[in-house]
Amino acid sequence: MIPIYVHGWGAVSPVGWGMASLVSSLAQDQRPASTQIQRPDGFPISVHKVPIRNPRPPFLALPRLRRASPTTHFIVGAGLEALGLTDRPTESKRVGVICSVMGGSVIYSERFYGEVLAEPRTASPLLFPETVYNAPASHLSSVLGSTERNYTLVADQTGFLDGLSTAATWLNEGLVESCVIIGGEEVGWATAEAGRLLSPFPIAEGAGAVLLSTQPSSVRLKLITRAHPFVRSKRRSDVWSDMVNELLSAGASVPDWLPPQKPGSCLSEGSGNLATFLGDGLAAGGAWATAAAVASVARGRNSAAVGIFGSNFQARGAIFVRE
Amino acid sequence: MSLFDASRQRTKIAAEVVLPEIPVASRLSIKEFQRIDRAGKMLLWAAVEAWQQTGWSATEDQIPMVLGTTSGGMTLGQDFYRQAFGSGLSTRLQSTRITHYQPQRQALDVMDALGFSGPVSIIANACASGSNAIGHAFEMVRSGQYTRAVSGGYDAISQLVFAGFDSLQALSPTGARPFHLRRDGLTLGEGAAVLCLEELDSALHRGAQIHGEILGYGSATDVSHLTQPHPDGDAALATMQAACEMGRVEPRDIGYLNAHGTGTLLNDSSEARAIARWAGDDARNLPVSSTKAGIGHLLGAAGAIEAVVCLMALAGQWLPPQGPTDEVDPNCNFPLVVSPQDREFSLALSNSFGFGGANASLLFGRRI
Repeated sequence: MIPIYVHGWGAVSPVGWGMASLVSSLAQDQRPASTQIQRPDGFPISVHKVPIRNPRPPFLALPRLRRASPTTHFIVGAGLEALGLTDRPTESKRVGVICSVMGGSVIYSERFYGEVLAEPRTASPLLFPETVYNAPASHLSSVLGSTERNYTLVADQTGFLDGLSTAATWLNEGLVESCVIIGGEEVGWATAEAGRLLSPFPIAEGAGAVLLSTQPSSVRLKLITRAHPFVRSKRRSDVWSDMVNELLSAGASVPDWLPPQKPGSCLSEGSGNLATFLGDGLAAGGAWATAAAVASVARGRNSAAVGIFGSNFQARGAIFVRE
Repeated sequence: MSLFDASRQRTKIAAEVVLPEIPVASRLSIKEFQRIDRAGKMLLWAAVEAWQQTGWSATEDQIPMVLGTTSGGMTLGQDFYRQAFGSGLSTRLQSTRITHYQPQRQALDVMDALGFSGPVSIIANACASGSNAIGHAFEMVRSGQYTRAVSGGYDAISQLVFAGFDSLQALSPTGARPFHLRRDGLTLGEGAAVLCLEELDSALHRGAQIHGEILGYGSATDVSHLTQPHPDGDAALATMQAACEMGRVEPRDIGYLNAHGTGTLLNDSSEARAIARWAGDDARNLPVSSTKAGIGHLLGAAGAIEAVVCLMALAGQWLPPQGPTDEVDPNCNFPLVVSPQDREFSLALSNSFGFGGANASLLFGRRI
């Protein structure tokens, strides 16, 4: 494998728009405020929403994004920040795009299905296309003017690391010049209810992104662990231990990550478990943990590991080192 | 349409699968199988059939699995929604629905059913998902990362997706007629197809039955519109060129092209123009058909099942027909295969395009 380097990172999270908000909130332990979202019967559920950005970012005025979902807004926001194009999207033609989602554009799906049940003949044709899993990734490629490869991966919190792995393969094969990987999510009532039933953390929304290329930079992707799926022949605690041991064997100093974590945990060396801080960001959670690790190496750490114990899919980790 | 009440839809037809009532023979218990939704069951039937042909057995080796889908277990998501609206605080079965709604759970069910493990990728690139999944698995083997891979696509018809295409007036009320001058939309179908891939030397070494070869894969993004292709098919042209470049073949070498051919006005004219640009005068001798005319548009499964069609056609030396097409779109400068034909050929190309500008082409070769 040829070396793969990190050239940018970005985040939209419940503590604000931009990686700087996330880094300073982590440093000062300023946790996001909870907001209440209501189930159809009025039952309230606490979640962590992304604060409205005022003034609105200029990219939201692009015609292509006029009707786009919040997931798209978060994914494009984090992706542009990673590309160094914050607020000023310019054409970036040879960039591959990989988006990881778990719930996807659920708010529009809820609305559209509600309209279908009420009267299918008048269900909005404007909503349906935005419910498709790959709509956010497509919008980002369009904003960038890039006709390069574009994948949307559906997974749990670990999907972001699967995206890194796929991007590394594309870069190794020379299929793209650079690749931006984004994990993003939005919270509607259905996601909040699903989280209430299954997640040990409040559900959170937002996106995180990392830009990879083979051009040298100060942060190198040293390792992505094997995928450790939750097949029934293995206890989940063993799956997690196997993954952490793989990180330890590769030189990471994370023995305190054992014993296993709660499902949905997104650990970032130096920053702790981001799910306990920001909430369970689903696909965005893995992205935030990775972006936090990368940013900490860029700020001077020699290395930082990421370890993610997904909700229902797998455990996976990665190590970034300073060059 | 019998899966749900379509009486208030503009279009009322679809190509449904009749699922066997018995569970597929696998390592899953009957109770585990029963928990799986319609899409997951179709996936399992296809995966078991493919696996049994390989001679592979349960293994500790890492075998990656790459699947394409557009909606995973959407019918369970719909059940979740309706119960949350209709039953107040009752959460009975809701946790199970959330878990099995997600495609990663359906993929793990396949691994548990067949007894293997490895990295799983679920590619949700709309109607190109199945081709992207096979292409991605192909690249994992081609790059030397793995010797074997399981790949494919699956989707079941759901009310949300059916109503979605109907709201866009993309569904034909009478049945899809790809490349017909007076076509009026697509017909939704459902199903699954799974391909087991193995590095050639490994397969030859163990004397495996080889159904065909994957020789090329191209993937590109059409950024012109979320739901409409570029009128001249720029991205389609790019994927066909890329797949052929990888396989080191020219358009004139291709003996059959399985078109995306949905039967919608915009797709078919755009794809026809792309084929004309890509093949030039050689298109006049290139048999093309869209098998969606016969089985419907299987969305995330489309590229996978059309890959199987191409492999079967190559193995049997016949051209898959799309049925009578009395008035052909004038953009088509290629012969449409409208009735079954025997034909000697060694290469087939398959196109898949989807919402969001997801475009993919796969190149298949005959293995004698």
